[in-house]
Amino acid sequence: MLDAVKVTSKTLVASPERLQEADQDSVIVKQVQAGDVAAFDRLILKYRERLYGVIYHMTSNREDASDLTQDAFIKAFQAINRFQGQSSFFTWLYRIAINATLSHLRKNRFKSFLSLDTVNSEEPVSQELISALTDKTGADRDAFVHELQEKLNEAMQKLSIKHRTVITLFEIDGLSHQEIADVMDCSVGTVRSRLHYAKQLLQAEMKAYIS
Amino acid sequence: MNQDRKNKVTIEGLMRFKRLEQPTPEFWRSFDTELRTKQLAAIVGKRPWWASLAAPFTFVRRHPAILGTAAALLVTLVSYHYLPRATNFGHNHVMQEGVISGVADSAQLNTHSITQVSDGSHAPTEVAKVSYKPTVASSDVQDSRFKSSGFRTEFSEIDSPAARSIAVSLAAAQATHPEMISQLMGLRSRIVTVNTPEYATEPLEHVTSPSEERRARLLAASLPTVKRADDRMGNVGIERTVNNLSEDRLYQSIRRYDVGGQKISMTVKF
Repeated sequence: MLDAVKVTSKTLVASPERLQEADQDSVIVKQVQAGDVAAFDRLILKYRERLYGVIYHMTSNREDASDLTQDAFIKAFQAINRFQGQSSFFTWLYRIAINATLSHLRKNRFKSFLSLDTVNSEEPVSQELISALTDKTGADRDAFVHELQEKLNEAMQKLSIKHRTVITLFEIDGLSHQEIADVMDCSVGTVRSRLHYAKQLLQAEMKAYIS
Repeated sequence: MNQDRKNKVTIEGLMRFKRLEQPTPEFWRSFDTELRTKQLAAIVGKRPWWASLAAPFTFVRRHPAILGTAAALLVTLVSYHYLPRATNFGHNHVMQEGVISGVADSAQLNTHSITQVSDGSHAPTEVAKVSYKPTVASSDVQDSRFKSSGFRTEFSEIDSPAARSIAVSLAAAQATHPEMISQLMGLRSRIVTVNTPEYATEPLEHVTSPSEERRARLLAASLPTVKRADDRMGNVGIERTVNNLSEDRLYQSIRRYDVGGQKISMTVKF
């Protein structure tokens, strides 16, 4: 079970905010390693939404995403005494979650089904996009949002697991190429290549909405 | 108008839209409860039996260089311990093959000498006697050495298609001509019993002409071990003789002492 925990000696090339976060995390991690189990709750509260978001967009299934997120936190909790701080806690936790998700996706490659969260259509981004696509309002608008959400998730599921991971981490979670390379244990060039290819595939799938 | 608006939509915009898929606050409440339960279970839960076995290897897994060095050292020690034995085994095996082939060669040589001598005097000589016994002993040597080395020789089990066809033909012939086959089988059993004794004796072996005795005596002088060949219990000497008796040496001895048959001449140089 703990084989998914792979710690590398690479360090992230991160922004100052990310470095500050990493320092705060390392303090909390040391407290947990010293026996303060309750300190781990702060790490859970800090990263649960981001971690869940990444896993959800990779699986397109909210129940699976919930279970995998919880498992990732449990694995991190069990293995935190082996965490030596060679990478940031954020990267380490992401690696645990991504490895567990990849393993889950490989196991259930042929039996995936969608179980989607609701889209917050009141957000300005959502309104702008919907108004760009259609002039419909009211019930028709909600139906269109639902349809678009399903099309997007289906297009994501048509991508290979690695391409889906890269585009999720870059476009949705906002990680840099270097951070993705560290999390996925590959080169930056590979990340860029996969990202380019994934975008091409998504464009082909969503061309009805793009042009 | 709508077409112009659609052109503004990009993949990045769609991904931003997808980012808005978020769970409800109720979801997070149940998530926290489940996670707390799992965390407590992980704390108090019994670890699997293999986890305690894997624990000592955690240090090694962190430092693979130590594992590699230990493996290399182990391989070196094992090879150092077993390689000389394997080399000796191979050497012995080669030696055995050499001895056996040497015995076989000498047996061929001796058979040749039997026919050669028999043409001349119709009686086996001492050389012939010497040469015959190792032929029996060679199989004994071969079997005993192969058995002692744990080998199963191909000679111990003859199960070829030819043997099977012979057996079938024999059975058919026995069905048609039982008397003749029983006689033949009796002959075969007699042959077998003839081969069974350790020292086979030939009737003509006891008959030696004076010239052959003289020749054997001279050869015994040149090859001291040949003299012991007459001794039936001198099995070791016979073996050594056969092993050492090469064709070249035999003919060289004959040429040196000019043992051509009836006369003996010796040249002494000062």
